[in-house]
Amino acid sequence: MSKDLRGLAALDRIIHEPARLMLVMILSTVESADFLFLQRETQLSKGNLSAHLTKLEAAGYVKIEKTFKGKYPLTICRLTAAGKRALSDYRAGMNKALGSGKGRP
Amino acid sequence: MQDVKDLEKRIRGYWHQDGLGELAGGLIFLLLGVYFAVVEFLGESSQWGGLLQAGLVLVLLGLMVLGRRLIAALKARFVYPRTGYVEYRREAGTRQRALLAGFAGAVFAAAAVAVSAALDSTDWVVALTGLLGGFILVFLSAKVSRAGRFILMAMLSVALGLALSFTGLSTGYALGAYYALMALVFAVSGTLVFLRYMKENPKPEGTSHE
Repeated sequence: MSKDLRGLAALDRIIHEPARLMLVMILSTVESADFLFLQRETQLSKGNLSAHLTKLEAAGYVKIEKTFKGKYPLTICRLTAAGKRALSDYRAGMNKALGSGKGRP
Repeated sequence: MQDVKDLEKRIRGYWHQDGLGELAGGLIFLLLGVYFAVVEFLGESSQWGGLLQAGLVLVLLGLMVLGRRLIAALKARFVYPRTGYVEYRREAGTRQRALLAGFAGAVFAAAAVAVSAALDSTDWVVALTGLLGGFILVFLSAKVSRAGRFILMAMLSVALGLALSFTGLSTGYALGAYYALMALVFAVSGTLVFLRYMKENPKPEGTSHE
């Protein structure tokens, strides 16, 4: 097994989970987004989305704040610097591992 | 990487999917049309006409502020409770690029006036305005996904600009007519898109998120 492939074991498991990876990728393209927007984009249930956001917040990758836009209450989520760094590292790790198998079926 | 680009494009397109930007744009275009027609009606030599003409930059800035506030209020009222809120990332140099675009626009306008004066045919100002409007709409369509309607609006902008340049109207009235007709185009497009958006996205029960 190559060293690059063994690097897969060292991938950040917080981000590696598909639903959380989706959330982090969406948040990486915007300044911030609210709960409803993330729910519509990911098609996750409220409870599921809430649980994943809580895990990302606990890891310090996402900052969650409750605010208002006019009379409408918003739960705003934004990717922190640590979250951006974690996504970048994850992407590099995946590229390195998958790149080693380039050209094979 | 392509997926991330597509995702960015789709999320940028989210801002346009409710048609509110076009409705606000239509109102701004209508006010611009009235402005040009009033300046022409009062005449450059009159005190009010001269004052209005000198204040074009202020009028444009005022309309931009009005447009931003109007869109923000409408989105807070209709969009955020239905499909959610997104704050777009301001990339480094956005302000500089906007200033540069404004400067380029001013140079373009000055060049259009100079060329039309040299050709002794001020009608070209309207044709060039239509062309510039079309260019901006095509650019917008390329930047976001699911916004093919902007191509049609771009074609209408160019066609209207060209058609009005042959009507024999004075520049002020022709510009007024161009902006008023484009306001109508924006209003029709915005209304249709907004109605479809409201139909496809009923307000969810309750306001609690979690």
